[in-house]
Amino acid sequence: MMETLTPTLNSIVNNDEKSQNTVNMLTIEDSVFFESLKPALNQLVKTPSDETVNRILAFSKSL
Amino acid sequence: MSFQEKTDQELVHLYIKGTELALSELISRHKSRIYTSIYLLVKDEYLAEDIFQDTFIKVIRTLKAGKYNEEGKFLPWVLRIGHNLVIDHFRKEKRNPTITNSDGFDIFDVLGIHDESIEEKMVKQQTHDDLKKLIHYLPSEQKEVLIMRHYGDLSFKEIADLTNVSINTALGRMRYALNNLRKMMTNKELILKAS
Repeated sequence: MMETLTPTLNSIVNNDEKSQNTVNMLTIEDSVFFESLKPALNQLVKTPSDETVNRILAFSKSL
Repeated sequence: MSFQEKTDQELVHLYIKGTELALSELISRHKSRIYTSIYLLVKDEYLAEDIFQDTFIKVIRTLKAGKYNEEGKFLPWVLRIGHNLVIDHFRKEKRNPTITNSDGFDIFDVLGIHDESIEEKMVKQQTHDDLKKLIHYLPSEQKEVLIMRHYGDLSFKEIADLTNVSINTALGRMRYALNNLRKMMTNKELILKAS
């Protein structure tokens, strides 16, 4: 019983993991290119003004 | 334990119980990712500020009403709200975000580049400026996936949930986005250098 059940469960888990990994992965070529883009993408990061953040916090306190 | 050491979930719990500083920490922790995601979609600094504010007003109302779904992660949830508000905005305006003119703000104005020659600075600035334009040329659904994946650090499953498509569609859009960027960069002979 155990011999039958264990491989079956492992198989399901492995297939699930394999499926998850497959759908969450890009091709190697795409991944390498995406990695090369990241430093430049990071340079595009910006933040909202302090005024906007303060308005949000004031709104929260007003409730 | 300081606020900085607490998880998002712990901060959410504290905020719901009335600790306002927990919200301040959550905003401080995620504001750049959320704001950048909104800004790159709408390409307007002031509009992005408004949508960022509206996003958190919805977040606050939901949390204080006790309607927050504990199963979801905080950042993807907030990004979803922001994303929906961006869509609402363009539906109201009936215009395509990919053809909107830039507001003229240049993030690279604030870059701190001190160890390079003026020529190197100009080349780097031009390169980043070009990349920003190329991203804006992408179809909106491809741009969304790229932005959510990088700035939101979301999995393709989370992006799929957020945009109401299958995981394979989200992944396909990312591949198209990368392929299109690669082609456009090749055409423009744009070479990226790590900073």
